[in-house]
Amino acid sequence: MKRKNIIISLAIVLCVVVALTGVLAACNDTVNDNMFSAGKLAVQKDGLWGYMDGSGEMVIDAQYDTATPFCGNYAVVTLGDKVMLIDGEGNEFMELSGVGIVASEDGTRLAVSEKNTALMGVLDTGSGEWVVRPMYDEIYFTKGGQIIVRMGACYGMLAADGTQLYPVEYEYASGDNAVALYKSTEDGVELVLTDPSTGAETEKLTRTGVTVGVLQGSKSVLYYGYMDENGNNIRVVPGNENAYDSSTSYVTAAYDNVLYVEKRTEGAATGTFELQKADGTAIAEGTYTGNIYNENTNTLVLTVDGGENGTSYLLVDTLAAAVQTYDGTGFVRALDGSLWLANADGTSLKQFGEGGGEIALDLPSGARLKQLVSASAYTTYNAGVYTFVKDGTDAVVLPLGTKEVIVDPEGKYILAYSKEEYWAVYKTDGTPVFGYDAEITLVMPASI
Amino acid sequence: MKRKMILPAVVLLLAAALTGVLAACADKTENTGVFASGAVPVQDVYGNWGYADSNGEVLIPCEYRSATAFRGGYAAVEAAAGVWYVINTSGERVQGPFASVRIFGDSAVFEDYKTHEYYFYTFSTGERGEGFDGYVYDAENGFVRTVTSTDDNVGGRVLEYRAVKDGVVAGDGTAYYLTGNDVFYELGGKVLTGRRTGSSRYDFTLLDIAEGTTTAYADASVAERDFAVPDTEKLNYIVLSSTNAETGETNNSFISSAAAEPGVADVARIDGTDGLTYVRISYADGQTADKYMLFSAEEVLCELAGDGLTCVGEAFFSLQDGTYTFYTEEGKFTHKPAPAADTTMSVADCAFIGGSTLVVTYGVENSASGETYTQKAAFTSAGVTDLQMFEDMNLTVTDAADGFFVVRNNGTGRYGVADLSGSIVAETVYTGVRPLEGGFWAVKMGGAESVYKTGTGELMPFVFSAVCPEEAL
Repeated sequence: MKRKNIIISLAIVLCVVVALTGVLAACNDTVNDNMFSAGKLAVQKDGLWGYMDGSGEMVIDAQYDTATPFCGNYAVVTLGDKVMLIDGEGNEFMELSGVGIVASEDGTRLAVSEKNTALMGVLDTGSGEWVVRPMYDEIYFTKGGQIIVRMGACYGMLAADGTQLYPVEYEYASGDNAVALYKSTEDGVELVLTDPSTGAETEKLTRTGVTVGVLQGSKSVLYYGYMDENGNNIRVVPGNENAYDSSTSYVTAAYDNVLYVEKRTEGAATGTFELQKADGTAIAEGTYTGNIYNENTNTLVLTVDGGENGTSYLLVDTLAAAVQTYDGTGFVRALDGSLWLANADGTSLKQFGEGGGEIALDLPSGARLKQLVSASAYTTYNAGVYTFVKDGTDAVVLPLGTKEVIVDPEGKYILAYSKEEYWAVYKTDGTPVFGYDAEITLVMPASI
Repeated sequence: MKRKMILPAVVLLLAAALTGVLAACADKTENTGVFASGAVPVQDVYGNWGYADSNGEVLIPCEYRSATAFRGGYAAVEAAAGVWYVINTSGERVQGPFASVRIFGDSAVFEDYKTHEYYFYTFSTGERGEGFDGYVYDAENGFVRTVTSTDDNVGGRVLEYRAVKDGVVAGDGTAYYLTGNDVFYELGGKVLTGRRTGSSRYDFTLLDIAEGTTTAYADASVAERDFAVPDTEKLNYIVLSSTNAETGETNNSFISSAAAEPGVADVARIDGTDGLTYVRISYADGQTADKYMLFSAEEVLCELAGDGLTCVGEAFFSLQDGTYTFYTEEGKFTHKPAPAADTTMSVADCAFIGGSTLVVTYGVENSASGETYTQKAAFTSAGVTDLQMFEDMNLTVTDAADGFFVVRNNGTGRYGVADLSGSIVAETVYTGVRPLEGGFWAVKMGGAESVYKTGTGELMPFVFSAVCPEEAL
């Protein structure tokens, strides 16, 4: 999506900023919306960062060198060499030793590097109290909020309240489908698998020769492998009923919620592939002479050589794990996750999947679709003018000089970027939050 | 009028409340061991030293470049580069400035800031001793040697030896005036001075510094000497040879830090470690059998009729009927290991950890399978500990003190404390553990240190970059 190109082109300025916030993506207060976490948006003015509320008022003056969105009641800012947590009023709450911070998905926990020890602990973002005292070399959060801690070469797992679930004596690997803790014992490899969303133990086994790996795609799929009595390499994907025996099948890649599996006979590749859902259910099979995955649209296009019948294409919606024949025109992923196929002249969009909807794009001559938000909202560009169209009417016509427009994923705000390198923010009902005249040079929405 | 009557009541109430709070605080504060004087040296994040109590409360602000522990109620602090003061436990500068300070306890040595003359000082009496030009403190053997240059033209100097015990330097030392032609040697806690009488001949006097007793060896030459530290005056032993003018008979005396023997024909050094020397002494009378002697700086550890000791690492041992007897600087240990069936054991290494705990590594070979492995045992004054239990817990013993081991978790790389039975008394979460004294430990967590007391745990929060620095001797 174009939005990402803007962020990349500002890479140099954002380097530190992104390092600070990369993993704070989900740090939103669920009471407020995702842009204004804890009711505040981090903005940069005259090179310094401060915080603004939804009415455009600067509630914390622009004074910091770098800043993160608010996570619960706290944000991390830097002033020269000093790194600190500030509270909602901008008062210094705690000094930290570095910018390495990690937030839990629900935003209730922050792993920070404590000032004196320079070791990591976990703070409750509501009370500011230590939930896990600073003594770890590294800390991660699982999706469900469990805390993975590392000391030296060993990992352990704590519950969100800090109580120990598994002692710090394991190796660690994680995927979107499972969190694995494993270690060698006298009897072989002890492997514990837990559900990333709940922390509940889903499997515990001890077997000789077990190896744990992760398929990195747009999703990361954790698997473990071992050699069976017949000398075959078996791959087990937690959450997937199939046991992939290397003599008959081999998981070569993972694309979002789709597994790409190569069929084999006696260990040799056959050139036939099967597409499976994450749980192993097959959704397509065939000989594919090419595959192109697009991470922006979450689509996989497979080339099918039909011989005399010619070449055809299969379009896979890797998020929905659904397949249909591709008729060769463009497709677009809306912000709400739905996938649409455009007709040849771009005047109408048809939703991917059976029984899907249709949008007639009533664009004036010269206008083109910029971003599809949902079936009833989209942005267009026409001769230098960006417009946000909702339910058929021009809800927001952005001012001249706008260079780029992004709609936030929840569809509540429009961020516009001007030629003079200023940002403006509007609500999608048309109300401006602040315009280019506020001279805001950078805006940090909670989810980038 | 009413106001005046209320105020005292309010004051009384506040005072009562305050003392209640203070009493509760006082219960938690340590005042034993390293905290006997109430406070220990601590370093803040800026690198400056001050003093804090066991709660981490800073009692004397961190404004010094260096600071020593309190001894006898006084400590030395460096206020500016090369400018030292003596402070009391309230932080008041009571003596100084000095170019250097060493506090033993009630005795101290001060170096005058302008003249750079050294002198002893006694805190309890305020007495100041005569000046001298330099001194050496031998902490291991417990004495101070002062040097005073003389104005003569023959390079003379006065050496004075004083025993240091319980922080007090003995008032009267034994003084020797030596010229450039005269010699002195130190053997552990003994000193041998020689006044030149002729070509390579001296009148020697052997002084036991602690006891104050002397022995004379008139008109003798040095037949042999064995250095404990090369290029210094520190010896393991020396053989003095004196000739009877009338009979022409020579009499050799063997003098070590631990023993003195006359009538010696020859001394041969067989082996040694940093602190132990093993020699064979043969006698001139033709009747007395050769003697093999193992000695440390303090005592003769073993006297044998035959050469029965083997040196491995930092200890000597003998083996008889399956029982090993280990001789170390710290004393003697016996061990009768019980090898498993079909295995043979041999001593592979002996090394000290924590200064006084000997770790013996046995090499074990299974004669049936050919498998070889090691087994470790630690010897303290409390007995022998099989270290296998620590290996089973994936721990390595790295240090020892006061009947406890410092152990490191091999996976996490973190340190903790275990007792001799293998129970973990301080969890292996620290990035470093350093023994202090009597059950106190300096524990490190990343960039900060705290004091840990066995049985109690961490005493102060991790807010100082260092606590209780090790002091150079």
